[in-house]
Amino acid sequence: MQCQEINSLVMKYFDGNISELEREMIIRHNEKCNRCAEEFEILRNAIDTLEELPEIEVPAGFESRVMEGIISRRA
Amino acid sequence: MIASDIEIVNRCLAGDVNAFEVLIERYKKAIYNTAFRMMGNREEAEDVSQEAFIRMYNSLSKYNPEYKFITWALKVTTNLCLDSLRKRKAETVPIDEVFEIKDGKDTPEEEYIRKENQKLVQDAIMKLLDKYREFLILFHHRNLSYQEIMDITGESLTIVKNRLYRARQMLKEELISREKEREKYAVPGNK
Repeated sequence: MQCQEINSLVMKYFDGNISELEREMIIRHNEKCNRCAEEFEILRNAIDTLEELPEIEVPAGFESRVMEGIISRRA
Repeated sequence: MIASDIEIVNRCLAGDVNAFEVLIERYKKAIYNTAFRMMGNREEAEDVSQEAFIRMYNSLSKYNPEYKFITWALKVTTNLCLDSLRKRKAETVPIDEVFEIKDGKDTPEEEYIRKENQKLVQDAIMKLLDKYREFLILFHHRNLSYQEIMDITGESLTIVKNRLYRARQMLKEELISREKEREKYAVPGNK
């Protein structure tokens, strides 16, 4: 399979919409193609990191400030 | 009993302003975090999130209960983020670094690698065009479905899929180019 076709399958992989057979095709291709294997790892690492980026706390007093904004614009 | 979103919306529309605080409390974390990942810093994230809730309140009569309230809330928020980003001049905008609180399970080395990865990815997504960053954040960070992203952005399934495809390509290219830069300046023999 050509690298370009594998790239499309890789995108399906990250969509979470890939069959077992297609997954096997990526693995088999990447065993022979260092470039695709490397690019796949870079993207997988990035997507895993993005999915796990921490949630941050909302600043204290946020609700009050929104409510003040709503009330002041109504006035 | 816990009031549903639509019950609260109806209370607000009937004139009970304070009922809106329940919706803010319910969704502030999702809204603020989405804005934070779009804008890249806390200050702008707070401004955009506050404005988003104020706009939601002022247009509650336009809310269509066929959609989940959070979908509509994210639509208002991402539109405001895109507007703010368009108005943002080329001046340097700070990117706040945010790391997970150490849970004690990782070794110091693992902790260091994770922080470096988070910084690398956060910096790289901030380099993407806004419209591509938006889709990556909604799909991979907020874990939303195609349908939810279509509802939020008003785009077709084809565009959602294509834009996600392009966004991931661009993210990959950005990371590869950073890797090449790093190798160029790496001290020989000190990999």
